[in-house]
Amino acid sequence: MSAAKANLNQLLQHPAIWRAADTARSRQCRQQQTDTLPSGFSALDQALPAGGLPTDNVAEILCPHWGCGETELLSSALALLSQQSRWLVWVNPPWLPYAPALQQQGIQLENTLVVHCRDDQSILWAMEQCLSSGACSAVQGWPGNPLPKQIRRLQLAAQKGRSLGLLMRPDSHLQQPSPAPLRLQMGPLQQHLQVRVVKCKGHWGSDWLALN
Amino acid sequence: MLWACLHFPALALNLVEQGLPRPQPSVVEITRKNQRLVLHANSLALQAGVIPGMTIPTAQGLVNELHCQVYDQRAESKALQQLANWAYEFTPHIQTHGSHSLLLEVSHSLKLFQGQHALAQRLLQRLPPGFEPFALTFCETPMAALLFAQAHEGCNRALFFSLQDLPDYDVQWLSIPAAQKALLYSMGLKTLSQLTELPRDTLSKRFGIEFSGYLNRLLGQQADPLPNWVLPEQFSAELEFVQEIESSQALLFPIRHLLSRLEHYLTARQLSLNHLLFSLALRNRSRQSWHMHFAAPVHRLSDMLPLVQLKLENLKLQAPVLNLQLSAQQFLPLNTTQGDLFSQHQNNGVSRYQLVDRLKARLGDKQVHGLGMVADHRPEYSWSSATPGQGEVLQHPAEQRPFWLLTHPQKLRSKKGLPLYDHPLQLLKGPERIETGWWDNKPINRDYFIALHGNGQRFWVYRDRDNQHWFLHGIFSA
Repeated sequence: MSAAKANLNQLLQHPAIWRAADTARSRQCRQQQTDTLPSGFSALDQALPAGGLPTDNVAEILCPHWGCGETELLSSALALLSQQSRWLVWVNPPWLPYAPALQQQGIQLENTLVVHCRDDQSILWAMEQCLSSGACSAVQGWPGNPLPKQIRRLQLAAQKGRSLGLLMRPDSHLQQPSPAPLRLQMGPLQQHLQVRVVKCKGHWGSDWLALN
Repeated sequence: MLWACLHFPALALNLVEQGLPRPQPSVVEITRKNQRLVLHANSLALQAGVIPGMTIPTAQGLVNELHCQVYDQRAESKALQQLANWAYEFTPHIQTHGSHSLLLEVSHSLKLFQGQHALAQRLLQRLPPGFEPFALTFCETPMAALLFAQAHEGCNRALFFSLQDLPDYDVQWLSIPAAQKALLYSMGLKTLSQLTELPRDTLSKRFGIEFSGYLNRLLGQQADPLPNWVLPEQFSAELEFVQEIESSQALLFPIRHLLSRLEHYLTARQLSLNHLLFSLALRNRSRQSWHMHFAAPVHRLSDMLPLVQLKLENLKLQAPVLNLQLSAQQFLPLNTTQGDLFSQHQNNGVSRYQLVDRLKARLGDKQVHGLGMVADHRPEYSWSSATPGQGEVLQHPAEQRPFWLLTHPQKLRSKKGLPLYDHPLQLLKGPERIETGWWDNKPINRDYFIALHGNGQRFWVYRDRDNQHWFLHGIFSA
């Protein structure tokens, strides 16, 4: 009996097992396991189990409309990633990333790449190519309405190429199932950025966070 | 000195057979005295009883579905030139002789290839397929090597000779006019030993100075220098299809063949390239061509082929294809010091620029670009869609700029002098006056403001000072 319990305890030590009651320990495990990218907002970093955004996975960002603060949320992370000599890719952005503003935010222009696509299929294809190539630090894309299996493909590609995939989706897609390990929802813009962790691996989601 | 001679007696037939999708009896025809005659026949045709010299109607009577192709001297000499380019791998001293033979001076290459036997083996290994029959002979002088090759034509292997083997050979193998050969026979001179025993000055009196010069060169008594082979400055290769190609995917295989020739050429000249031109001759007598640009110089088939494959997926053929042409005109020096062995990031064999190429091949050249800055105060001209990785970085403006820019400013309605975007916008900051561009006929005269929308978004709007209209030009990140 005691042998079985010892075995069980041993099993529960495994870092892949998450126990809701023990979030502090699991956070520690995760921090040891993966590289993370500080988002630049301490309140958000604390709400994320890994202490920041993943560097080799897909994150979904759900917005009420484009331009509700999602670029500010990501700008410090992107500026940090653009220091690597890998591409920082925008796939089918709603508007044009404006070079002088990017430079003001500390993004290295020589590592930027903008890809325009004609249809949803090409957007997903381009994102997958970029993510899996290993030549991109982050790929931010605005796909139409990807299916869960398509997001899963992107996730595998991101892990293969060790790059961050950012899926920008309208918040009307909130109720759709998604295999993305991290989903953030942007709130309407007020005095501060409003962000909610809808889902993240190894942790509960969070309430609305006001970031400044 | 050591010379090798590669002799291809049926080069024209080789070209015909290479263009056929599957083996079939075929002949090369030539017209003499208003008669169509068989010049060369392949093994299938020979088995069926076709003999070179036969008239075409007789041959067609013997074989069903005989493929006849008119002899094309231009194509034949072009093929020989290409074989000479191929042989550049082994030695720079190459000369074409007649329309069927290549002469290679290989004494300087023996050390590299470890002896003439190893060299011969390597030559035979690397010889492109589809050039049989052939003969490869080695001897001390080029003319002797040629003589042995012609005497053993179609042996399909390498043979090694020395000048001592010459005397046993018949005078018919000499490279002299047929009339002189007949004259030699009539004099009872059958073998070379009989010929060389005669005093040289009497021979030159009877047969001319050229004849004795040839004999001297044949026997190594007179130097026979040949100029170095110079590879053409530009690469161009084409393939003719006997059967029309109707799907773009079916072009992949012939394209692969041409690209492998290009790779060989680039290796020989130690160059790389970033631009290729493909051109197709179509059945409707028009041409369809497309350019391929590579973001970084390439020189390997394995780098070029996947991009061509992506391009072919999107290519729509306007008509069935008869002929495929590949050309490359601009080259760059080969730079092989690429890649980082100790890179922190696992690279899956795809470099930054290979990725750009892949995206461009599928999506189009203009759909993929980098970002750069331009020294201009006009917001729409102060950025540029640069070649990826080459965007210019300048001092950024002191004023705050929006993260997103609208390519074309959107006109806004206004109410009581204030802009409307569904709701009235509240002007937070401004004006920032930008009045410039008078020198190139695109002047602007604008007051820029940062405006707040009811939903919390901040916009970059301007009022055109000429007509007082409001425009939305950018969206701030927050």
